[in-house]
Amino acid sequence: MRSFKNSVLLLLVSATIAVVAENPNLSPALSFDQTVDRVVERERGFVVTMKRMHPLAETYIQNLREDSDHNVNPVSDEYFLGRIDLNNGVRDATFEGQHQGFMYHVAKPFSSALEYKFLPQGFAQMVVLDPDFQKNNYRFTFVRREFLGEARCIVIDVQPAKKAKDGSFTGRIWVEDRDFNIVRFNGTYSGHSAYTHYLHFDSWRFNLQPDVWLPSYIYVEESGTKRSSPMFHDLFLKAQTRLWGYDPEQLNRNEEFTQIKVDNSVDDHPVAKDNSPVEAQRMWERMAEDNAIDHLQKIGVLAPAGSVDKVLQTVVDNLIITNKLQIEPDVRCRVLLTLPLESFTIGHTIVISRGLLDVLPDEASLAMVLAHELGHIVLGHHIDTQLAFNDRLFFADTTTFQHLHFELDPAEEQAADNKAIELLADSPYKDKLVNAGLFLKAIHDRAPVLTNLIRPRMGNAMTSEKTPRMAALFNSAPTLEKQRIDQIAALPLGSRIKVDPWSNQLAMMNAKPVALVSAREKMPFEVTPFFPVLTYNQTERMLVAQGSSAHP
Amino acid sequence: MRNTMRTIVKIFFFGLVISASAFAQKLQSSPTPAVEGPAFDLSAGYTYLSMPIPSAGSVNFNGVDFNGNIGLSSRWGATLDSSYLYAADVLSTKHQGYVLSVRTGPVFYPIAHRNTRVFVHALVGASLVDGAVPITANEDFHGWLFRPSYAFGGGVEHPVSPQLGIRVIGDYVRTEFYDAAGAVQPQNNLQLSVNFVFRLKERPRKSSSQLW
Repeated sequence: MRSFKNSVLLLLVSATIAVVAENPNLSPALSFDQTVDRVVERERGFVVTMKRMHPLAETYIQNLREDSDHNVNPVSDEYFLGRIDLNNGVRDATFEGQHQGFMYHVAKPFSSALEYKFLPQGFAQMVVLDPDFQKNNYRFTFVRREFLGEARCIVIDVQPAKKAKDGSFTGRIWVEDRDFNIVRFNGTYSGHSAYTHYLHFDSWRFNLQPDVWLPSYIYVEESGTKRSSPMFHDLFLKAQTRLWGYDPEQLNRNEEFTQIKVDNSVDDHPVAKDNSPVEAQRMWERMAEDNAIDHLQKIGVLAPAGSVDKVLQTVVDNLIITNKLQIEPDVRCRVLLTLPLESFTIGHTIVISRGLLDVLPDEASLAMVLAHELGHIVLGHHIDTQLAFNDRLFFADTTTFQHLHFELDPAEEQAADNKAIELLADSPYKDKLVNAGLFLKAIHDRAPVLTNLIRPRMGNAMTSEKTPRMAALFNSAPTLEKQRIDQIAALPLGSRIKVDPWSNQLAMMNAKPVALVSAREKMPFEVTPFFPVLTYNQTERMLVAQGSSAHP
Repeated sequence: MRNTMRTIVKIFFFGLVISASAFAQKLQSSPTPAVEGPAFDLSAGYTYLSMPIPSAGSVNFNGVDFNGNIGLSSRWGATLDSSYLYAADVLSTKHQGYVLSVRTGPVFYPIAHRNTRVFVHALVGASLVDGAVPITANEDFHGWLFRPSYAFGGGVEHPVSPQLGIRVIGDYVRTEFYDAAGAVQPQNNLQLSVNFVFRLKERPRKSSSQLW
């Protein structure tokens, strides 16, 4: 019996040695000191890699206040969208909005005089632990090992050494133990002053390419410091920064030029057909539509066509089929990667923002939004055909929201609302519109404080102070009861959609439904922390799998 | 005296260049803060001014200094400074004298360590100088003159609580006044101030779309 046990043990040890020998990813045991050396080396390599990357960074901040009943609610918000450049320090080329008058530029420098001023670069900074990460500048303490999704991590506390410069990171890092990349760091930068503040943040990186971990999510939370401190601040906020658009091919499609494929040079159309004036007009409008869509996708604001579009398309088809509509050319659906809640049409393409998809409580509410946009299409509301001339799209990315706007006038909005009510009345959603009405009430309720979330960048607002959209649905909905757990009018931000930061592809989240314990957990339209499930890059996994199959 | 002032000016500009260079290096290595402000304060305190009168000596003025300071970024601000200085007996002439000044200009913070900031500023404005100049042992000239004036210097500020701090300022101040012959002459003065700084509480935040 003992010899059998020994044989099994020997076999296991031999198998382990064989696996380690075959798989260089499994590192031999390193001392903690050697591990820290590897981490520092990888982190310095990361900074070099990041200098070549220019992802989009979107930061959304909700300032909070606690009322007398200890309920914490957002009281105002701020939003930044920009492209990060880590060369020569962290720079963030911020997208500029529309309608900025002369006085805005005059008053801008004074905005930090009487109140806190949030700096986009300061949030973008949180992608980097330390631009000049040196082992000598920090004290490292091993905490434990922990899994973050698939990644087995070494958890290390990092504190600045006594003589370290101000601005050094202080907090905790998670290092995946295959290649010693930092995959998460949680803490703040040391040494803020009475006038400038570093915030506490939780920064996550994803394995977006083989052996390349890149910043993807940052969650920021701050709830003031002690009043006795001379560096006291009463910042009370939650914020999130999302990054995407790492793939340089999104911006530079030259490789498509090198991959020309000619399948068949013979025109196999049955008979050449002339285009009538109506068809020509439709083609012209479609060209303008395609130009705008292509531009938005190229600069990383619009997601490539994918699975989420198909979900939207299904709902639109439900509306079209049950209403017996004939629409030429076909209606398409696309998703903006940005957070502000908005939807609009570009010709026959319905565009809806990721943020809006995230907060919609159910399919009927989605149908309501899509029905409104479909109403514009059915009523033939115009598209700006100037965009059929491609030179009108030659402008800096950061001025996109100044050049491209697709809002329609209030009369057209009202007409689309009325049409949407008609479309919904003949649809499978006609008996399920209670939550849609509640959603409109919730958005109307939060509109005065979450102005930047609800203010559209390119389309029409979801609500206005005087007239909520879809007044018929709004008025027929029950009263909004914030304390009722079973009344879900809107979801927290980030509830439905996840973004692949490399390819900008969207996918539906695969989270299990959770029963709420209290009304506090409803968090409509609110920023919440991130806890992504880290996975190793699929390409790498495929290679590993292929390697394994080659050596059975 | 003029040579001394020139030397002070040279040292000041040399110091500014050195500190700006040090600041540039610090900028490259320090992370950008995520939040700035609020940075508006009022200060008031004691001020002293030494005013040399050519061929007659110097007059020591004492008074109060009021200052409003606004932060435009983490390193730049603007200030509005006013002071009233008084001397009971100007150069033993039995005449009182005073200097009333209002000046404004940019402030630069080359060094900010924790909650202590070193600053330099250059201010322009106007001064009303009322004084007297002895002509002979029994005769003197007295009068007032309102002319442009400027000042540059720097100092240190350190908060001692969230709303209260101390600021020490040293300035070279250029004003004009009459000499014994009745001609208007430039004056190179040295002014020192110690102020209590009152930081205003943050204004309640309102939803803002201005930063977009």
